[in-house]
Amino acid sequence: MQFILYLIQKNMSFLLFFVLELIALFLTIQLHSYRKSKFINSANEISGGLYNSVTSFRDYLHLREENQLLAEENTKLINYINASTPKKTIFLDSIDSLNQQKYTYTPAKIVNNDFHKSNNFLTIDKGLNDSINVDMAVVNPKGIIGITTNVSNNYVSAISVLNTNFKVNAKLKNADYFGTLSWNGKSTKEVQLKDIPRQAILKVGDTIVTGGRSSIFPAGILIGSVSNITYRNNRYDQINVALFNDVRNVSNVYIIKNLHKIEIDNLEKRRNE
Amino acid sequence: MNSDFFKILGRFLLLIPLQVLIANHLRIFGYINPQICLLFVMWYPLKKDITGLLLSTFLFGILLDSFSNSGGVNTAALLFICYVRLPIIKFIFNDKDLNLKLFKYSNYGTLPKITLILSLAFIHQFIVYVLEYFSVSYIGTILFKTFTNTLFTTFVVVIFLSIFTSTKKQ
Repeated sequence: MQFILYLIQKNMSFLLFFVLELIALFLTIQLHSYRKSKFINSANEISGGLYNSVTSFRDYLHLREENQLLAEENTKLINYINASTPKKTIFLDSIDSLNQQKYTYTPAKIVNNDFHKSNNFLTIDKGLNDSINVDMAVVNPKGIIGITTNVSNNYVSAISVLNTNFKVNAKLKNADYFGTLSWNGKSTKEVQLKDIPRQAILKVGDTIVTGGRSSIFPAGILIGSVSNITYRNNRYDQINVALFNDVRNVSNVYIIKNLHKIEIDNLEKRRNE
Repeated sequence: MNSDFFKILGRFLLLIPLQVLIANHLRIFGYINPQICLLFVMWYPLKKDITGLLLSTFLFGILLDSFSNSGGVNTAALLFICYVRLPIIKFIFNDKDLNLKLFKYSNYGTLPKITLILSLAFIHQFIVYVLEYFSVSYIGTILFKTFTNTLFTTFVVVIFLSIFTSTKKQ
């Protein structure tokens, strides 16, 4: 017993190093296996607050682009309103469950944006106080940006579309063929579309949108256009999709909350039991 | 004793915002970020007990990781650097009876200093990228990024070291 104590005392510094290194490795493995870091993330008051104060300065440099983006979105919305025929007034005698709102949009601002690593995250300045929670979609008018993963009272960190663990259900805009979208960690302008069935007719330039087969992204949110297709054994091997968004340079975003998410999740949980 | 503590605390509080707000946003050629956080370990007095170094570096690393959402990648790499620092310094400066109490980087020539920083930066970057990619199929990318980042980190750290040690000379 005394010998063991002596050994421990002698190798105290190594043991401390070993234990601390183990904790660090545990945190790393936990990041890779759960696709988010539960304990160590930027959705806390210290890092969120520091990023927020720096961003408020930096934003002035991008006001012109942001205004341009808003003007384009406004034009699109005005055109949409004018193009849709005026609806007939229907008198409802009960609450119409078909016309209930399914999604709410919350405007938010990205305060920190990584894109130089293989697992990139965003920090956004809205949190539990703004009824933002985990697993909500982050988009801007040009397309998808990420999914929220960790939340604190005032900040939320989100897994970026430029993260090798990011996966989203996607489809062709003009046909109902579904696939999975992920990122291979190489170019920040391109993501990869997989599992598209071979009967789908696909050309370079086709628009890819979200498929809506999850409770996170609504269907039809823009993603990008097909930039390059490779084949293997007459099947689609890899389809590169050029993102409409320059994710390196986004600032103002919307966080989409699915009001039916709890209902859908409960139903799916019951099915899995 | 106390002045050392405040020096370390000062470096802790200065290097984190410097790394997180400036160095991590440089992105030269899209991916090169100098890791000036190495300086925290390099500047920690050699005469002090390694326990303090390990514990403070652990805190330092965890804080860095929380800013960049990288799990424990920086912590693991920095802790390893802490542990191998003394043997590497002894080896490179070729000083068997190194006087830890009087040790100063300014006592040594430029070439061994650059070799020391190069080797520490290489080990640090290699661990960071291996843990970040976590897959053998990315070995080419890992090595390429490690080499380029090591060169740039060394360049920046040498500049920092030469600026701040020259003023300390008495």
